[in-house]
Amino acid sequence: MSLAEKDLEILELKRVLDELRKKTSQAELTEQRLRNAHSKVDAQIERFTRVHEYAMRAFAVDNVAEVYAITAEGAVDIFQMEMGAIFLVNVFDNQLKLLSQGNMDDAPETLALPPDWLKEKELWKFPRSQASFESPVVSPMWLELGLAHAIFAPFFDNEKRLTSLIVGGISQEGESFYDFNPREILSSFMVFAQQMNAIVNNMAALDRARLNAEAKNRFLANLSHEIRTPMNAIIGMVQLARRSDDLEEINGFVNQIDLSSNHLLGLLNDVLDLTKIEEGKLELVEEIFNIKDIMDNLINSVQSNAKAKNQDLKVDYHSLKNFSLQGDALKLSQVILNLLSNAIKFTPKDGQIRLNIDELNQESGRTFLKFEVSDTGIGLSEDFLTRAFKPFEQGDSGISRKYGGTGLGLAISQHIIELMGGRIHVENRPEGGARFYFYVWFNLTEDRPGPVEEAQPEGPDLTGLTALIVDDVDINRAIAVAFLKKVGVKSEQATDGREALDKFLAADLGHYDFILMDMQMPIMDGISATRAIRATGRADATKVVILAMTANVFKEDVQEAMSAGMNGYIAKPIKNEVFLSAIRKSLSQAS
Amino acid sequence: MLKFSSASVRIVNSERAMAECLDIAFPDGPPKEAAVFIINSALGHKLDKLGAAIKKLSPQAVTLGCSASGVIGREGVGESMSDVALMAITGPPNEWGVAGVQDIYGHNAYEKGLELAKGLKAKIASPRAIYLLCPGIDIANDLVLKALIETFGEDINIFGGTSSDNMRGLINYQLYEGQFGEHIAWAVALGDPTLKAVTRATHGFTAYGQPLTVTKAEGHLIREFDGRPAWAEYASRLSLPATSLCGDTIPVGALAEKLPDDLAVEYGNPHILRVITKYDPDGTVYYPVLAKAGLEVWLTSRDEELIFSEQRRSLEWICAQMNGRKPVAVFQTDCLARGRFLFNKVVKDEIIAMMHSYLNDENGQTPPWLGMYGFGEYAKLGGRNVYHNYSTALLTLYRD
Repeated sequence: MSLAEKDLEILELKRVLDELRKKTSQAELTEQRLRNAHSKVDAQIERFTRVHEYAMRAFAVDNVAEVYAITAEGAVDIFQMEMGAIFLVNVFDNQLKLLSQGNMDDAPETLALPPDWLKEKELWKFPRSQASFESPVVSPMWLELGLAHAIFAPFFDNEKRLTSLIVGGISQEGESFYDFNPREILSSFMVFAQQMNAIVNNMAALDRARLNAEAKNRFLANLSHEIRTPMNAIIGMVQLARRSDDLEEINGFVNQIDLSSNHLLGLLNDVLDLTKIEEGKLELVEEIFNIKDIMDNLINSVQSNAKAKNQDLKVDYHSLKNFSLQGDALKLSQVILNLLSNAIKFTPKDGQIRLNIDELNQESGRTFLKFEVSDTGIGLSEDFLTRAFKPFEQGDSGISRKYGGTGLGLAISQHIIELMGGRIHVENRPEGGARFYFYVWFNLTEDRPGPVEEAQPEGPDLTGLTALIVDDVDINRAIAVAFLKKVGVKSEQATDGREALDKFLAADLGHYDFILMDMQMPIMDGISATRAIRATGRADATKVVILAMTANVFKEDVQEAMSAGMNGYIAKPIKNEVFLSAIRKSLSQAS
Repeated sequence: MLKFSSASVRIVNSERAMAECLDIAFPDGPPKEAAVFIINSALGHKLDKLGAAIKKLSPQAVTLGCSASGVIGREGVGESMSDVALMAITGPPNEWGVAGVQDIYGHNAYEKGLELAKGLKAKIASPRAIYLLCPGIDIANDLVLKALIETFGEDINIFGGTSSDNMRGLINYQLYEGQFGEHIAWAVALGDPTLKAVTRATHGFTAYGQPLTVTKAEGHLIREFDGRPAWAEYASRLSLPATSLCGDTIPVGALAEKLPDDLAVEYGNPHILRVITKYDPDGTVYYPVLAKAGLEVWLTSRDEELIFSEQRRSLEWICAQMNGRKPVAVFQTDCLARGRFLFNKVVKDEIIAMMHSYLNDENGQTPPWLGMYGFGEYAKLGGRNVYHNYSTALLTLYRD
């Protein structure tokens, strides 16, 4: 072999060696890629294992706050994020409120959500929602958190309403060390969010049940106290009146008894309302109404009280484009009236009270309205702000003495608004006073409200008529008899339904012009007695006016009475004017 | 007599992580006596926060720490960003001492090493072992070792390693008694006369191909391999573009330096390995020890069987040195590449389980154990204190 050939061979060997070296390093690279792929599989298994571990941890705690803390920690730990947090979503105020954080010590308590962000992300549309990510981050609230990359998923409550957002992320400084591979973690992140969401919802339901039980006990204790207070006044005044010979003094006592009785009645009505709500018996009655008219009427109805304190009470609904709406106008009025009455009550002389109604959104034939009642009054203490909507809660014990009220109005208002699908909030205004506001969707309609019912004439003169008063309680019969006697009605009495039926059958045709029938009585109740009277076959059996006189004023009780053949009802306790008016109205309709 | 207690956890909240560690390490409550706490932590925790959390619970404690790619404890391996491990050493203050230096780099490694050694010597004149922690980027480890050996003598057992990030080669942190930074070195001298120490390191890589020859170097900086900018040549040999990052090269780019024959036998490998954790835009690479022109380094290939067999041989050797005694504490420094970057979970858990099985006590209990996945390791080889890379290094402390 010549030298040149040897050189050639050496060159060739070097080339082969070089080739081999390259192949070896390429094999190393390939093996490393394989290991990386294995590592990804390991990581995915690890993530799901950790999701399970975190769910088990969350199951073991006994309050929602801890579940949130575990969730925020999980967002960091399971998905190897630099930081994580869970935020409460206030869809009405477009705000996020921090519930818990992991490695995000400087996170602000609240973050503003850009308008329409939720709509754009479609996060709130259950069950279409999925975990999402931004890389790089563009949403202002994630930027405010200092995130360069973010992954987030929604939580829903049991009614499928968006409640919170869980977010994990990596900062600009951290992105050199943290891998952000959203597509690798998206599915496990969503599974994690769903698991923790379910635990939160279960726990919230348990918490609610526990709190409800506690609230019930507190409610009963408060109710007992609230009833005893006016009762004490009534009994005390009666005793004083008995011992007095001074007519003027007795009149004063009677006035006090009247005030306490009315307070007691108001309290019982509120308790009934609340009971109805809690039993789910309160239903919305949809009707077409003109919001402008309703609000004007409300303002008019309380204007005299405001004027008495020289208060400036105004309503502003100028941002509304449509006034013709469909919804429960009566219950809406009840809430607004309660808020306005409170505002007038707690605002000193010369103060200002405003009712503002704004349209925040309009879509698919619906309008999203914000109602706000604000005042320049005494405001609410920090402590009371947290319990303002709980039954029997008032600013302090002196409030009810000074301003009156049962402490149930706001609780009822909150329930009504929630029944309408909204939420009510309260806060102090920085410049003084308080603002209550709530948001509700109403259907828009082209139709106009039906004509307002013409004022009914007073009805027939009752003089000379004959009534049968049926009640097993002597005092109830006595009161009715006394009221009727004053307007010239002759009364006969029966103590149960059976006796009433017997008297009706024994009487001449048309002897009784009307019958006032209690509902709950021994031997035969009012419903059975009414059915029996209507079924006697006498010529006057279907004509005689029968009015229920009852403390049972739930919707189904009234319906039952009407379907048994009664003409109307009078709610106990009876008030003279209401009582006579109801009788006149029924007689007038029957004739 | 010194006592050792360890714990490792994976908890996101730093304060809670430390509280949990202390609960595990000290079921009866944090120590009231003098104590030094060594914290190894993944980057998800801020070391200064961890140190502050310890101080809150045990105010008299001296806190030292370093960042790592992962941690190892009695509980096993943890390589998430939230993993943290702790070793607490308690006992009479005359049986342990700590020292630290700031602003240590490759170019002043010897001078700073001497300062560190003198500080340590002032506390404990004749320690049984020294735990040394240096930065993992821009450091000449052999010079730091030289300074310590000159101060304490060749017989001293130096163990420990260098801090790291999660293999990005961008940053690494150290904590020394409230000082927190990227170029701090600290050391703990263990002066308990009843303690005996054994250290050993092992890897499982084989060199291949033609060597890269250093043609231009200054100190620990290699300017050129084979007449070309060092980084470009190195990357090219790995079939990677010159724009690759250290994070890309570390798993596949272990460089092998030839060992003298006698050391090769003990080491079970003719080569000791080196890692590159930094390079400059001009292609200068930061070697972890001094490099001179003419030095030859080889690319290497990972050999899983060799890794296992050498690990077993290393453990058998350690056990033989302890002659039937069981360790009272184990310190482990592992190359970060030997964590999740080289082994999947099953393999890695198998290696750690193997270590535990050799070093557990008669009841199967694992001794207090602190480990980390860092950039480099210190352990003896051929009776001398040596800097290693890509190795698993163990220090077992035992008593007669």
